[in-house]
Amino acid sequence: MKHLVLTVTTLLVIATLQAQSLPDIAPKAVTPVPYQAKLLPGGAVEVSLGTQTYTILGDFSLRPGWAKLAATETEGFTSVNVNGDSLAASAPGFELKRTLSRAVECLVVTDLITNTGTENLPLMYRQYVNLPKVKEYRLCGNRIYSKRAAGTNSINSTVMVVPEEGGSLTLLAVSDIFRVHIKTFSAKGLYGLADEILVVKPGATVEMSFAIFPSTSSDYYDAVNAMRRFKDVNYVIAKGFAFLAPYPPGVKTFNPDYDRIGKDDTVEEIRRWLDCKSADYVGCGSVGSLNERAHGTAFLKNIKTDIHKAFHQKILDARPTATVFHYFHAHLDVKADMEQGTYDQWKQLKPDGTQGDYRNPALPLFIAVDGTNWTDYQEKRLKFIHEVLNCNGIFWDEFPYSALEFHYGEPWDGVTGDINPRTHEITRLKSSVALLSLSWRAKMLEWMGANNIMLIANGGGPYTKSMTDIFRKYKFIAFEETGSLSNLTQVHLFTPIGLGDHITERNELDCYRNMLRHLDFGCLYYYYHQQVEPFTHYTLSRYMFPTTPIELHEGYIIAKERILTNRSGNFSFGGNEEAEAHFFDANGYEVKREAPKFQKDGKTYYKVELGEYESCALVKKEAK
Amino acid sequence: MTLRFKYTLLLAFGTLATVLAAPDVTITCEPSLPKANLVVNGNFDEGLKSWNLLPKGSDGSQFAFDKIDGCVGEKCLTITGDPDQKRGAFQRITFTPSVKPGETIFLRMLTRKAACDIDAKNPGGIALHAFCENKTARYLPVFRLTQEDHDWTFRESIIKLLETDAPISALNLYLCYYDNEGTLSFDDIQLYTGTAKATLELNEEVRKVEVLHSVHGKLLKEKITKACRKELIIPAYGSICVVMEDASGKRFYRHYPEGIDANVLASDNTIPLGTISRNFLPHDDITLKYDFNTNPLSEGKKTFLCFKSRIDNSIIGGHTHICMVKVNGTQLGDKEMVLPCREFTSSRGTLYKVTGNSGYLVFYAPACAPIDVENNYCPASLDSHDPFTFKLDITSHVKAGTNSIEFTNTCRSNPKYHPVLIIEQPRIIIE
Repeated sequence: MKHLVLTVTTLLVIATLQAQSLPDIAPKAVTPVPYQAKLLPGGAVEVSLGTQTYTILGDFSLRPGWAKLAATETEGFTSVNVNGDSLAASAPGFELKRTLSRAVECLVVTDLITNTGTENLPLMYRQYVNLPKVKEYRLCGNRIYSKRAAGTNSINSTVMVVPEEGGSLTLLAVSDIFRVHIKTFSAKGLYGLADEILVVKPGATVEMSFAIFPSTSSDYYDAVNAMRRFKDVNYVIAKGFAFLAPYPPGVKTFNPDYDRIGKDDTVEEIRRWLDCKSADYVGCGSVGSLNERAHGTAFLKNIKTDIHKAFHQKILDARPTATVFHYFHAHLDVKADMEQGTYDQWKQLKPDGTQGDYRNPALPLFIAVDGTNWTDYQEKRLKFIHEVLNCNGIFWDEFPYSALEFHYGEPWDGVTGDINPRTHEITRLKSSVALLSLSWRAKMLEWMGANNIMLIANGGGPYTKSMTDIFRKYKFIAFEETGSLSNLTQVHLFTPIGLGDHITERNELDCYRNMLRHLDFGCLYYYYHQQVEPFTHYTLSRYMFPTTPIELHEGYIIAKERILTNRSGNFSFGGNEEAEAHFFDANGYEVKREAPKFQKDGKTYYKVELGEYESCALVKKEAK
Repeated sequence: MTLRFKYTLLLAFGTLATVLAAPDVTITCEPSLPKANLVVNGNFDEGLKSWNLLPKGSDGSQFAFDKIDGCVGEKCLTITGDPDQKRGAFQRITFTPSVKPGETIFLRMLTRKAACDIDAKNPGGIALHAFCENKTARYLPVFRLTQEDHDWTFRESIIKLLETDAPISALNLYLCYYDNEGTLSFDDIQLYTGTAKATLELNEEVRKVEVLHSVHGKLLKEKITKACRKELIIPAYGSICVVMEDASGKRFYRHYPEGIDANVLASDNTIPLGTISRNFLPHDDITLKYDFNTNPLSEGKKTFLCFKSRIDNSIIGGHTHICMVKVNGTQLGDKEMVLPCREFTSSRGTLYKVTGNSGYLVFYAPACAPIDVENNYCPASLDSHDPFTFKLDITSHVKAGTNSIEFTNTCRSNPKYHPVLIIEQPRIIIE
């Protein structure tokens, strides 16, 4: 008996010690960051946290030269008055009002810039820190290895610097125009956010605001999670996704023994296929081999309505929980099929005045401006998808813009232009397609929300705060394609979903392994195209949804409903939640394995041990 | 001798004759190649002889001629930069006769830059100041050097005079390193112009003949069904490789002139694929094929396919998956990858997989040379920073006897974009 007690005790001690060799991972308590912040006499912003102090300098272009907000002395401003957390300044051509507002984990700086002249005002705007030595830095979420770099991303519109002494500072562009125009930069020890294409109309006021996140942590994902909380984007991602179109027989896949699943497959075959992918959002679309066209005016001319309706019904018969989506794109038409001349006024123009295209003249570009015959037609398409094809979901491809970001012609968006970097004069006006189409796209999203139509957008998500608010209101989601896996940094500040990699995935094992790679970036996985076959078994995606993110990390996601991980650790939901563990082996098959439970610091932890290419989903029992 | 034995003997000799009588071609050229380099002392083995210094009156202290690893010969020119000085060297080259409209000037050299100021306005470079017969002068378009450091990299410019251009009687070749720091080195500077008439005499019937040029790619592709003589105008620089394909599809090669722009030499463990060092796969001629025979001595050893690859472009500018490689009909992928790597992170933090469904990832670049970390496209996580050098383990795909290798440019047809895939020094290595 004594021997038995001794053995059991020894085993428990060994297990505890082993558990202690794995990291303990639980959601971190969100507490106010005890930073100090103030406006300096020269108008720059000073932020301190612990032993770190940062000065965020500001540059505003003049013609010629610059007006600068610095620590003590300003330059170029005719007057600067600092009063607590506010500043009022004047410079040739504009007035500036700056205010600071303090949030739980960051400081928000709002600059209101008013053009006091009678002509359009070109204004290059830069906010940056000067840190001669840093341990590492990131632009738009990507770690940069060169001394100078530039980046642009309107969702992860950030600069993060990690000083040699530790801690970190992250700058995040917040206001709509700043995010759309964003350029992040590093050069000669300067790291910052810039808008180098801003034009302010005479008498108009433009808001440029950004947030400053000081932290004692150097971890990128700690900064990501703070920004996600600030942007309030941790809402539920309800279901998994896969594309499924009504292909006729004979359309090949990468496997010579399998054609793409399609319209002639049985309900049972479709059920099995969707079960393997665990997809309840099903993305249908036009099929080239049925002579259909996905874009513009060609879409309605060629759509085989009866085939799609019948196929959608099969999908719902196979999986009653499914929502069927149909493909939509607002900016392209098909030259061979389109109605020539009808929409000429809405051509998207390049700087030389010719119409832009999708890197192929067969697919010309148009701008989706509200109240035009082009958007009238797009609305007709959307209504057709919902009312005739009976889809309750829209998959909106290239949501903010397509192959070209800018339009060089009328109408003008009122805030964008090319500015000569030497003279600071306007070279020419241009328009951001994202801004030009914003009001119409917002109108369409409100229509979808009012009609219980779900939206999934491609392109990472909304580029503006105003659009983010609509997405959040209706729990719309977006994903990013992963031809390069690091594209996932673009979704770190929105719904963290990556689409499967169409460039390298050839079989279901590749898909599973990419799910694990997505977890390396703290992201979820949606299946891509049907070139990959066959799918023979369910995998990790069965336990991925619904997910309401709490924290993203390298290798795992902590959500309200579940924890998904590709690395070992002792995981906790933060309390004493009961959960069941689902382990997947290196080939993506679920295997029976225990995740021993233990108590520590008032929390219940589950010990997850994984080998290479293995994964685990810890699912809270009440989430089922 | 029995009748049966006589027939057997005849059959044996006939077979042997068939094996021995490979198609062959005799190549003659007027003028014969290689022509003399128009740049005197282009490899600086005689120091500054035939070169003039900049700025005028320089004492030469800013120039060095030490051998640097990787240079050709015993010396190279190294200019030490000064942020406040425009330093360089130049040489005047006279053309007799003048270079006429429609003709080509070809410039090639090696350059190396170290410890430069990446923010300097002038990255250093070359200028060709041409003097025309009509007493005008103009600068000819030449390649640009990278803003950042680079190790020895060979660069070329092919300048074709338009029909409306005036004939050029002379030019000044400038090597410039203005207002910068660190050093810029030059070596093996070559300049040629003109053409030559090549005569090909084919000794027997073949299915197909191709003439490949080391700088311009395919010059000729014809179906020839009998022994013949063919005349061809070729550039008077670089080299040609005549590829003959017999009735069975087997390929034979003849190179001219020997040793110029040639593939690696054959050895006990090296089988060059083709004789020319640089092969072009333009979009509309997409597959390059080779055969090689396994050597009984390679049993128990590993077989590697080695080559360098890029998409021809004047600057380093991105990459795409368009290099499909097949061995005996099987597409190679991740499993075979030894070099460069399976995936890398670039200087700007983006992650790329080298193997794609359409083939391997290939960079747009003017040369196959490691990329400095200050260039956005540098594969920073790869120690060598060299994404161009491929080594693929094809041991499991190789069979006894004849094996085939195919390179294909898989870029999809597009009216605007025609990336030309280049394969350099393809060879089989047995280790």
